[in-house]
Amino acid sequence: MSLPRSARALTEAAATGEISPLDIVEGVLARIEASDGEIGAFLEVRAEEARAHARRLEASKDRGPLFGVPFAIKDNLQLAGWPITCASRILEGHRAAYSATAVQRLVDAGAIPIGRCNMDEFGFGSSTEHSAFGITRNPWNTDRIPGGSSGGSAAAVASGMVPLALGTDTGGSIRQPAALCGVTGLKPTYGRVSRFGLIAFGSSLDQIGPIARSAEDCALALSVIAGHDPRDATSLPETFATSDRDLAGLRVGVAELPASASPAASIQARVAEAIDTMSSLGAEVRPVALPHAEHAIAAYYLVATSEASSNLSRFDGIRYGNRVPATDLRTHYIETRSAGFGEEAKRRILLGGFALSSGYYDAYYKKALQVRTLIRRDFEAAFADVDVIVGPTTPLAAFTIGDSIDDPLSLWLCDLLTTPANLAGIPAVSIPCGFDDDGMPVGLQLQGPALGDAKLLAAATTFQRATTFHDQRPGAS
Amino acid sequence: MTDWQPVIGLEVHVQLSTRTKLFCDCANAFGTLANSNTCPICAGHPGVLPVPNEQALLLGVRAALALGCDVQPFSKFDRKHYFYPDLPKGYQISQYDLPFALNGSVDLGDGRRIDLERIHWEEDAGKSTHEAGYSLVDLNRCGVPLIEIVGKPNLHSPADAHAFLDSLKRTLRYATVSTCDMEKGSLRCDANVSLRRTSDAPLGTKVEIKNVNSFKMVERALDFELARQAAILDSGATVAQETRLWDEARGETRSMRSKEEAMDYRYFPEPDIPPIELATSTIDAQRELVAESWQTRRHRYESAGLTAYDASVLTAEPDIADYFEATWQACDDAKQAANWTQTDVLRAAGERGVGIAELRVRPNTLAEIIGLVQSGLINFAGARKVFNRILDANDGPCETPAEAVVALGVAQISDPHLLEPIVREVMGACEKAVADYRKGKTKALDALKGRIMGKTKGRADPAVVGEILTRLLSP
Amino acid sequence: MDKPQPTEIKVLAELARLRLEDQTAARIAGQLERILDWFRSLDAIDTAGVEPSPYAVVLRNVTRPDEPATATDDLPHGQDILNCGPEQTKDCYLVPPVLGS
Ligand SMILES: [Mg+2]
Ligand SMILES: [Zn+2]
Repeated sequence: MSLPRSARALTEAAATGEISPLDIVEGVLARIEASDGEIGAFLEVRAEEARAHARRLEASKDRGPLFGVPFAIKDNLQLAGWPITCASRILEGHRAAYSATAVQRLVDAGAIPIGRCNMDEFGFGSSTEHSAFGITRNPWNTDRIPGGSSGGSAAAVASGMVPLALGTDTGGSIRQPAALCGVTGLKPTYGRVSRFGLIAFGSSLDQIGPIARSAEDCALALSVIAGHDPRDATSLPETFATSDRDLAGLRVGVAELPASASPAASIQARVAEAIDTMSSLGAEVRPVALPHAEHAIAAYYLVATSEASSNLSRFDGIRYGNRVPATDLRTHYIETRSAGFGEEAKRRILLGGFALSSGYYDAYYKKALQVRTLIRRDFEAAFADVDVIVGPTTPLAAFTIGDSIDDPLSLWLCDLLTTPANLAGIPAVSIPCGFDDDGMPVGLQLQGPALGDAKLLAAATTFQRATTFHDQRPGAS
Repeated sequence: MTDWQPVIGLEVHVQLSTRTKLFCDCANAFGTLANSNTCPICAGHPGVLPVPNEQALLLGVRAALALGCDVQPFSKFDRKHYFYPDLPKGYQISQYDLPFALNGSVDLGDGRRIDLERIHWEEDAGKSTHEAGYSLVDLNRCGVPLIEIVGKPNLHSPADAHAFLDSLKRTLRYATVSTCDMEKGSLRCDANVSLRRTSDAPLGTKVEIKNVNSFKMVERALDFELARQAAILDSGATVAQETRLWDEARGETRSMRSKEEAMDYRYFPEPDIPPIELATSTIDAQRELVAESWQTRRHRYESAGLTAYDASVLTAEPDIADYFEATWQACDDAKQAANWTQTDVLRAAGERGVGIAELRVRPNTLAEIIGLVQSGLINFAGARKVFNRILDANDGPCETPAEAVVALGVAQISDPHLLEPIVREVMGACEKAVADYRKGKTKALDALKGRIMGKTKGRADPAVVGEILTRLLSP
Repeated sequence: MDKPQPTEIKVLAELARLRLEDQTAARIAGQLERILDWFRSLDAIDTAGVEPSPYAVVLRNVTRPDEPATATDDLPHGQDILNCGPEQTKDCYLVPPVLGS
């Protein structure tokens, strides 16, 4: 049986009884069976549970807004009773004691959890090569990385295994893999989606968001997971409602890119074409200035590693997770943590600890927070003149597996265009806008003002109704 | 050694009397069973987030106001990092550079005030028990709301340190923010101790003493540490800057960690908790809830004619002072209200192991009993019987004191016409006492009175009996 | 801005309870030096008088009422939490002693 590809079409078919949730689950499991051996998007597929879940749905009278939609979960989001690892040895064997609010809301809306997706350990990476449990491959070319850290989620959607996946975005971890895998990925406004149950990387930067085949599906998923959560003190009170606003008269800003970004020529060309398309759809394109954008990456890495070094302190092998037997307490901590964390995690813990240590705090951590203020002000000034800002999501398309693993700095620089939105807390979405000379997908990033998620998704939807890039599928599936 | 001046500063951790913990809705109570009162949040599971308990913040503000602190309009939480098994997240959520209260002081009640540095909110840690070859961790206490009160190093003797803690405890109990029960760990104290040659000499190297868990131990630990430091300085050596642990069993302090091992706590603003802005109206509402201080009450009681000792006993606990004041107000006799509160009332509460506020005899009832004595209807012995009868009455509709008087038959006999025959009968039966009295042995009168009271089963009005006796015995 | 020496890296590792062999410490010190060099580009920005932004939202006074867990609370409590630990005894988490035997 051929299943509809989009989440919207799937849930409509399921709600009318045209197709049963169990049929959907069986279809999805068959695709995973066929594709995931090559891709490696999943750390674990929980097939029997998904089937049982589908049967329960069929028996119930509730028809939630995502009734029958299967979804994959990045392995830093908890679902009670499921194993969870953050792709780290230190959590191997642990089962979540409770569910993340965002995951629970999807389940309550009738969606069906299918399995856990691979990622860079704790989100530390942009290639999904930093997982303790193996790499994930790009469905468009299996020699290439899928991006990261939500690489498993993006690859699972891109290869057609699932219509929807949850990812998390601390410095681009939803948008960058979405761009590299040719799917749509949204990082909502900070505080839009509750972080309760998300295993923290950078607490003031992290946001959970959907990865799907279209902006419309992302909006559908966001309307379910967004909204105030009393268990997250940084959760915003505002409710989310989708918007129909098209591109006519929309003021679209284009910022000059920092010199250090220097996107590849074919990426620049695809982005320019996309902007022309938007213009032809009625958008009013004008230049905007983001003078501090080039400093975002340095400020971001200082804030993110500082918060990460703190957030990873709780992994000590005492209350959950793995432990290495030791005869004294200090050795217990050192052996447990040294065996449990990979090298990238260790590097970031040390860097963050350095930035926070007495004597260096003002020069590094505090300075980064001041630059963050300047970046936020840049956006506030720009959004006084325009509704959205567009540009490339990444300077480069997906590179070959193993190419950058030994050079953390060059890999970090790939996040140059995505980190400003996290520092400022604003929403940003990456949508496919064509292919580079090697046939790899190129992503177009749209950024909006805080709480402008709906308008951003409406603009992206208008673009996708006029184009077919988001409908292209890799041969791999 | 007499030529060293002790310099002592106290840091006090006080558990706030909330229903739930600071960042989760687990009960703020000791479970009888270890690790029975925990959830993913206070156990520091991955992915949890802290949401502050409003009442904990407000109780902190009230405590600060009771201590005369400047409550800050803007403050924030910070993370303080160190590894210990009873600190689940690897950091404690505390406050660093912007605490919610600054300055203030502890009034020792003798005209001296010890200035405070600051007060901040923070979460409590769990408990580790060390056994041979391993340690056990109980997380029930994790996340209980605390305030840390940091005093300036302005104390100069262990006795003053004790007075500081005693006053602080009274003040916080009056403000109803904490039980301040040191034995139960709801008030805990660390001390910074150093010695200097003269009162204007620069401060010496300070040693921090931890784990002092009772009022008695504070003085003992400080005495030990001051003597230890004096001996070192007298020998010409220098005191090492370090943290020492008070070992209660051995009665000594011992080294826990040296300055070289000092921690770098890597404080930074807690990104999971937006800052706290305290509006003037919020602060004022707490100010209204700060009861009159124990010091002011003590002065008021002394002005009403009570002795300094009585005033001190009555102000030891807010419950006692409240009970006394309510009785006083209702009977308009401070002396009688004070006598009853300090004797029968406190004894009754002590014997029953309940709080004074839970006694069946309420201040209004006690005032009525006192009123019956004042009006002559019963005497003191009868009053005590009435008090005990109401105290031990079973549940159900309460007898009034007047009804108890009837039920007990203890109404006083004051009519001289009824008493005179009894007095004459006793005089006739006790010729020797009568003779003695007439010889000038005034003490013999007591024997006669005793016989008369016995004959009336304690109901005779002693004053009337005295009058009749004096009249009949006069030559 | 100062850069960390390999000895300092060892101190940082100790604070973070991580074991670093001398070789790893040296390699990471080298990498951190490059990264910190790059961070020093921030020195060029004038941030005098600029407020730091530790938070991504402008919320204030987000609190919860002082009410105990109710029956509808879906978080696990007590024993279920303890059971997640790798080693327990006498209803407590078992950890090695502070000092070895
Ligand atoms: Mg403290
Ligand atoms: Zn709890």
